[in-house]
Amino acid sequence: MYTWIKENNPLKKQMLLSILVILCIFLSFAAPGFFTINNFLNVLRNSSMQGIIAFGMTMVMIAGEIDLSVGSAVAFAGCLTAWVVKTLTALGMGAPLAVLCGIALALIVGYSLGVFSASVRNKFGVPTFIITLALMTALSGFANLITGGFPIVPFPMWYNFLGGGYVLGIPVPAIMLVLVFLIVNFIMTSTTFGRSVYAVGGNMEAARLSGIKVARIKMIIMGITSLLMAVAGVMVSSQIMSGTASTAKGWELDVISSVVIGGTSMNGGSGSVKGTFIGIIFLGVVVNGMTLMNINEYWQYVVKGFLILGAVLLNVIHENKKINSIADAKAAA
Amino acid sequence: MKKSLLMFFTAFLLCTSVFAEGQKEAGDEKIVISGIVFQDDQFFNTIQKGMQAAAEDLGVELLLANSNNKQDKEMELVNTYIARKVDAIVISPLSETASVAALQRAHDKGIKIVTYNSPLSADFPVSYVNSSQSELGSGSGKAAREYIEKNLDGEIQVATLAFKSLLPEISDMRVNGFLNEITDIPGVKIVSQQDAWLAEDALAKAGDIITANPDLDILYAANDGGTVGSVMAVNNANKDIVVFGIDASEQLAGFLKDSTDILQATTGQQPFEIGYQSIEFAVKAIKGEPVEPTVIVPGLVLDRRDPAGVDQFLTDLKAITK
Repeated sequence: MYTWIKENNPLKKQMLLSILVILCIFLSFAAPGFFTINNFLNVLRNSSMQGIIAFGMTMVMIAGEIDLSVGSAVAFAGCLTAWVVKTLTALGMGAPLAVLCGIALALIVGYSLGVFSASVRNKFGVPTFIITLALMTALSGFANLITGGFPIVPFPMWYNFLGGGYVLGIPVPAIMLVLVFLIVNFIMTSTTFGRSVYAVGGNMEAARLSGIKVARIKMIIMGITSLLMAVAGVMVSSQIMSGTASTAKGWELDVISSVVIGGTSMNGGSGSVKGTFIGIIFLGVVVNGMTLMNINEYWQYVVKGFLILGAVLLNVIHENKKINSIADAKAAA
Repeated sequence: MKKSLLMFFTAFLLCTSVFAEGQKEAGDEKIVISGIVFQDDQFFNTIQKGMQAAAEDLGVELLLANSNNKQDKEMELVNTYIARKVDAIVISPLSETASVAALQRAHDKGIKIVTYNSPLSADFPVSYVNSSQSELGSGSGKAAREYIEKNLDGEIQVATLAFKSLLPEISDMRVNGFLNEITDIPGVKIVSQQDAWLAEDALAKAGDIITANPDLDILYAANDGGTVGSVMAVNNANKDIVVFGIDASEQLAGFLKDSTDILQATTGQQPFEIGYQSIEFAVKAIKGEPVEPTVIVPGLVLDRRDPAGVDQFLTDLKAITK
C-alpha cells in the first residue's frame, strides 16, 4: 500500500538537486549575469512551456504510457487559435471575444485529442507511442493546412501578455509553470486518483482487479496532458505573436528527457512531479548557462547530450542500489 | 514481287501517317513542366505561387511536387517525371552531388533542367536561379551601418542569432554578409554568436544573451524565426536594443510599422520572383531561346524609415497569398 511512497525515494530527488546546486554554483562564477534574480526568472520563463507539458507527461509515464505528439500538438494548438481569431475577426467579431473563442476551442480540441489517443489505446490495445506518433504526423499536417504554410498574425498586441507579460515583476509563463506544478503535484501526492495512476503503471492487472478503472484513468491523464500541450501552444503563439506550424519541433524529446532526468521510470509505476520540476530546471539551467557563456553551438549539443545521459545514469544507479538494498533487507529478514 | 511491293507500300504509308500524327501532337500539345520543392514552408510555398503564376501567364502545364527533404523521394519524383515525359524539370536539388544522377538521366532523355535556390554540381542545368545569401546579409548590414553612424557611439555591442547547425554555409554567408558591413566601424564589438532559428527558441536565446550582456546595442538574426524571437525578447526585456533581421513576412512588416522602434530593417528573398523566373527560363530553354546560366534575384530591403516600401511589400504579399 505504501510502495508508492517508498518508490518516491527522497534520496533520488536530492541526488539530482545536489547536481543542480553544484551546477548553479559553478555557473555563478563562470557565466556572466547568471546569479541574478532576473536571470532566474528568465530560466523559469524559458522552461515554462515545456515544463507545463512535462508535468502532464510525468503522469502519463507513471501510468506506463507515453505521448510523442508534443511538438505537433503545441504547434497545432497555436495555429488553431490564430486561425479562429483571424476568421472570427474577419467576420466582424471583436478581438477579445475572438481570442477567447480561439483559446477555448484550442483547449477543447487539445483535451479531446488526448482522450482519443487513450480510447484507441484502451479499445484496440495499440501502444500509445504508435498512436501518438501517428497523431504527431497528422497534427503537423493539420497545422500546415489551416495556416497554408504561412504564419498567421491576427493577434492584438495585448495578447502578448499570456506569453510575454509580467505580474508583479514575475513573467506570466513562470506563474503558470508554478501553478500547474502545484495542481498536478497535489493530484499525484494527495488524491486517490493520483495513487491510482501509480497503481495502474505499477501493475495494470493488479490495479484492475483491485477495482481501479484503468481505462478511465488513462483517458483522463492523456486528456489532461494533451490539454496542457494546448495551453503551452496558446502561450507560445502569444510569445511569438503568430500561429506558426513550424514551432515546437522536437519538443517531445526535451519534455521526456526532463521527466526521465527527474527520476520517473520509463517502465511506469514510479516517479514524481517534484522530480520533473527539478529536471526541467536542470535542463533550463544547462541551456541558459551555455548561452550566457557564449559556448559554441555545436559544443552545446554535445554537452547537453552528455549531461542528460549523466543525470539519467546517476538516477538509475541510485535506483538499482535502492532495489538491491531492499532485496538485501528482505533476504536478511 | 507484287506482294512485297504492296507490303513495302503499306509500311511506308503507315510510317508517314504515324509521323504526321506525331508532328501534329508536338505542335498542339501544351508544354509540361514539373516544379519540385523540398520543403513545406512559407519560402517554398511562395516559390510555388510564383511558378503557378508564370505557368498561367505562359500557358504551360505545371506539375508540382514536394520531396519532403528526402533524397530517395526526390529520385522517385524525377523518375516519375521522366516516365511522364515532361519537357522540363524545375528543381531545388536537395544535394549538390547526390541529386545529380537522377537529373542526369532526365537530361539524357532530352528534358531541360532548371535549378533554383540550391546549386547542382553539373554543367547540364540550363539555368540556376537564386538569391545571393551574403547579399541578403549585407542588405541589412548597410541599414545597420547607417543606424549606428547616426545614433550610436562609444562601444557598440552586437550579438547574432543564426542557423549554423541547420545549414552552415547559408547561415555563415548571411551572418558574415551582415558583419562585414559594420565591423570596421570603430567601437563595434561582437559579444555573442548563437544559434536559434525557430521563434520560440530565439526568444529564449535572445533573452539569455540580453541577460549576459546588459549593455547590448544591436541584435542581428539571420532568418524569419530568429528575427521574430529577437524582437519579442527585446520587447519582453524592455531595453534599448535594436534588431536587424533577415527574411520578409507579414509579421516582420508589422514590426517595422509599429511604434516600439525595435526592428529597424530586414532583407527578404523574393521567392515569388525566383519561382516565376525559373519557369520562365525553362520555357525559353524548351523553345530553344537563349537563357542566362546563373541568375541572381536581388534581395528586398524593408526599412522602418521607408514605410511606403513596407506597405508595398504587404500589398504584394496579400496578392500572392490570396
